[in-house]
Amino acid sequence: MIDEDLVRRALDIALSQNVDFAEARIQIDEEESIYMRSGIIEAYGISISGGFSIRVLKNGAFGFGCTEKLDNESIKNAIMEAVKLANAQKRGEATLSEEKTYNDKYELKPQKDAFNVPLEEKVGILAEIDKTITSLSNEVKIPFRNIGVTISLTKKVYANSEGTIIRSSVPRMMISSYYVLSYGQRTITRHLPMGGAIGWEGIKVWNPIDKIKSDIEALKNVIMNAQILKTDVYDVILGPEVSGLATHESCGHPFELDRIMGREGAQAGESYATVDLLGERMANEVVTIIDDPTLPNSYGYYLYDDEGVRARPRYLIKKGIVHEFLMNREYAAKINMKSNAAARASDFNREPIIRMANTYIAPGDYEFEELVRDIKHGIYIKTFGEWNIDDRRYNQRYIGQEAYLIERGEIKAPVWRPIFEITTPKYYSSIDAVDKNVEFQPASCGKGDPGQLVPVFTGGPNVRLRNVRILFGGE
Amino acid sequence: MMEELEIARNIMGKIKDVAESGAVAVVKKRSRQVRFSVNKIDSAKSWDEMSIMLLIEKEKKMLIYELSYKALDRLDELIRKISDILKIIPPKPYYAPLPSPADKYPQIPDAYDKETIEYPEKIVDLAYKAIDYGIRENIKKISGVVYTNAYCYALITSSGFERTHKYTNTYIDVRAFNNCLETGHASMASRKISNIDPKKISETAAYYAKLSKDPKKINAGEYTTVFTADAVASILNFVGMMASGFAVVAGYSSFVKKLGQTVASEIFSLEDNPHYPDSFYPIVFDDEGVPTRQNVIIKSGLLQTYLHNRITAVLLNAEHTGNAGWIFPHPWNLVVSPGDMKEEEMIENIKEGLLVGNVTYIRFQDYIKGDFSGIIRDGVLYIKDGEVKHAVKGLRLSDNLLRWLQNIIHVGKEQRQIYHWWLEAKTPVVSAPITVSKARYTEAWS
Repeated sequence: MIDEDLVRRALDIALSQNVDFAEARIQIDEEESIYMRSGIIEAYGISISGGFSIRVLKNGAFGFGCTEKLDNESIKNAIMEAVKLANAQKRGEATLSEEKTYNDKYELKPQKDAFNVPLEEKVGILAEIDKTITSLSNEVKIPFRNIGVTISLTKKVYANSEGTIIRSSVPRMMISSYYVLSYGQRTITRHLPMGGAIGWEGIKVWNPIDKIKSDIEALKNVIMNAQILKTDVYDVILGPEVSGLATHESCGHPFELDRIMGREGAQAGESYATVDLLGERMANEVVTIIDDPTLPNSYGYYLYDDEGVRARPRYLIKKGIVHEFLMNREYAAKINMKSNAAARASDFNREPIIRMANTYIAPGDYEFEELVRDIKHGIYIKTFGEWNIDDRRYNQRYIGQEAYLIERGEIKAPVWRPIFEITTPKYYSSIDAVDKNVEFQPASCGKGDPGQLVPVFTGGPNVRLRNVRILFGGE
Repeated sequence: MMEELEIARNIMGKIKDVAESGAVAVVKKRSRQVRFSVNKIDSAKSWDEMSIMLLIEKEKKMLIYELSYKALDRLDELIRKISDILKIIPPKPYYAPLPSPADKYPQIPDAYDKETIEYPEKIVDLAYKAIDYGIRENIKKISGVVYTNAYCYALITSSGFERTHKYTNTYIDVRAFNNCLETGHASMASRKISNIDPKKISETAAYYAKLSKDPKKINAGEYTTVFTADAVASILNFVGMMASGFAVVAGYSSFVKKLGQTVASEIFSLEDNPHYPDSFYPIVFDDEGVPTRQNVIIKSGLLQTYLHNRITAVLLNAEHTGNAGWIFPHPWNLVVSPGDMKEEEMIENIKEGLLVGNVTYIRFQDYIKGDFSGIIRDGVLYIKDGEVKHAVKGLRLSDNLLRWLQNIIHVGKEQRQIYHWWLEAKTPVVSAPITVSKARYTEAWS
């Protein structure tokens, strides 16, 4: 139970220092994780972290302080440190958008609390996955296997000097599997995560044993039989894993307004997007991109952000037109808009910054088979291995892991490491069809300095692109 | 008595009730940071963190816990849980006892600098100086960060080791923008805030930003390339990570079965040395209480050693190198042996090629083989007949790590210690510029 009075008292102390605005947050994160490496329990960890943070705004300058210790003196010291850091700045210009105030509470209750599941059962699921993977090792070796289960519970009380107070409790769970397949001179390193804001019932929802089994069977076919084709222009289908990552990286990040306005310039970089892009066409009509924190049981789930603003689905691109950016209160104020609740802090000791939640291309009308049927000469990239993107999010690359040739409307033999390297405008303008089948993967999205990892979903439907170049390297 | 040591002793007393052996490490860290962008300070922050790590062993079973200060009030409950878990998990097929304390440990008298952490106003001042020096160089936007940290570290092991260690470090990271493609970058790391030179760093970032004017497209392919000290630091972070015995055992290394073999050009040498003057991490003992030392990883192109803790040393039949993490042995502070050329001379020696100011977002397609790609930025310059002709856009470094190391043809003589946030492996590097022949580049379809 978090002491709400403590947060209220902290705000009183901050306001007594003549600050213009103050917000206080107590966040407690509890986590349990087990890692099995090649059949051996490598680590069992329990982490309980938490504490108090204060952010003040004074004369246009922010100061942030925090403490793990929740006694009166430590809290007062953290507040005074934040005020001191704000006072030390002479050129502050920050303001906040005006927002409605709330007094609310939300609690996501799992069907089966994972913290109450016996350890034997948790170790048992990892052992079963490991056994499944090992049983599939034959002429294709699987020499390295790392499997982990992580469960967590995040509790927060947020309050600000305008009167908002929000209490929340969200459980999360993830099973992540890494395995290395080896055949002759070829290797494949695969990472397959499953997760959500959910309890132990996630195991039934995800069915990890069957999923991993079919993934490895497919990769064995790839590693043994994949052809290296010639570099050429192909029609391409990207599976949910690939389209999801591309959406996250080349629409989600560059649509963060702090990034657009330069705040991340020295770190993650700036953006190809400018404020003038609002209302402009960026993609074909079939492309609508949503970032939705309220998606039930999603890994990026929340109902109020870490500035106390109520969350809603954000339509970044609507039918190909740039519709809105991701905003917190500071950056919304810079363009005379309201926040759309994108402020998130990963831990008690981190400031809230603009983040994604669950970003995806909205499903279309096509069946997957219909996407394939209309392709004469194409590549289907279902999953990826290596990837990266430049700091403006303009030049992106994904190397296919499970990938196939498409000929005359049929999926044929696997292909070896197709390299999909494309500019962002070309990527979005090449999408001509989107199917109905949305799938999500949990991920930890990194941003900021000090770095903040926040849980998100990536994913989406299968998308088809016309006439894009695919590079093929060698072995 | 230091609070950290007191906490460690208290926990160790409780661990002994349920385990045969173990260790407790308590790290208290005070950080201050000022972030600036577009010529303004965005935020000034201060935070304290205490992390408490427990290693618990019984009948060759090993458990590792990471707790925060907040968890201390539930310590008895956790210890009971540990006892239950120890009954369930199987023993490890490999094991080595925690090492006994050494007779002597290295001394680094200037590891802790009081001035670095006690005056928050100083980092605000450094941030303003970095902004102002950049503006004086006619740069439109200066962004960056100034950081200071103070660490108090206490370690107790059941083999009789009990010590504390204090140190500080600081760094500045500046990126200069004339527009989104005309950028430059530089960073500097030290133990002492008085060593940070915002003028030098802002001017260096400004220099590359100005050279990046009007970038042009050139064909993808192979180009002999001067990588600046910043770019080299990013790539060598992966070399350091792959030298870990754990990375070798787990299949995340291009150095598997390469010990004693040529992995780099004969003019390239790399060591891990936390005792190097002004090292960012002046560590004197590792997480198993073993004295840290200078470890030459690559000498004149030959792979000399992996980096070990007690477990990987047993698995790979080698000597402990003083690099423990309990699971993942790792480098502390990499140092590139300097060569004899100035960066300008390295450029003059190129008939046709590139200079790359920075490499980020390095990702491996295949760790064993070493195939990777990375984003190049902050001064990508086309060189012809020893002169910079124009800036370049649209290329991506797409190479192989072993090939990159083996194609080194020059190493610069000017070293700079670099630490910045995106180094995935987070190891500081005393870096130097390096010329690599026929580095490979691809371009995006547009």
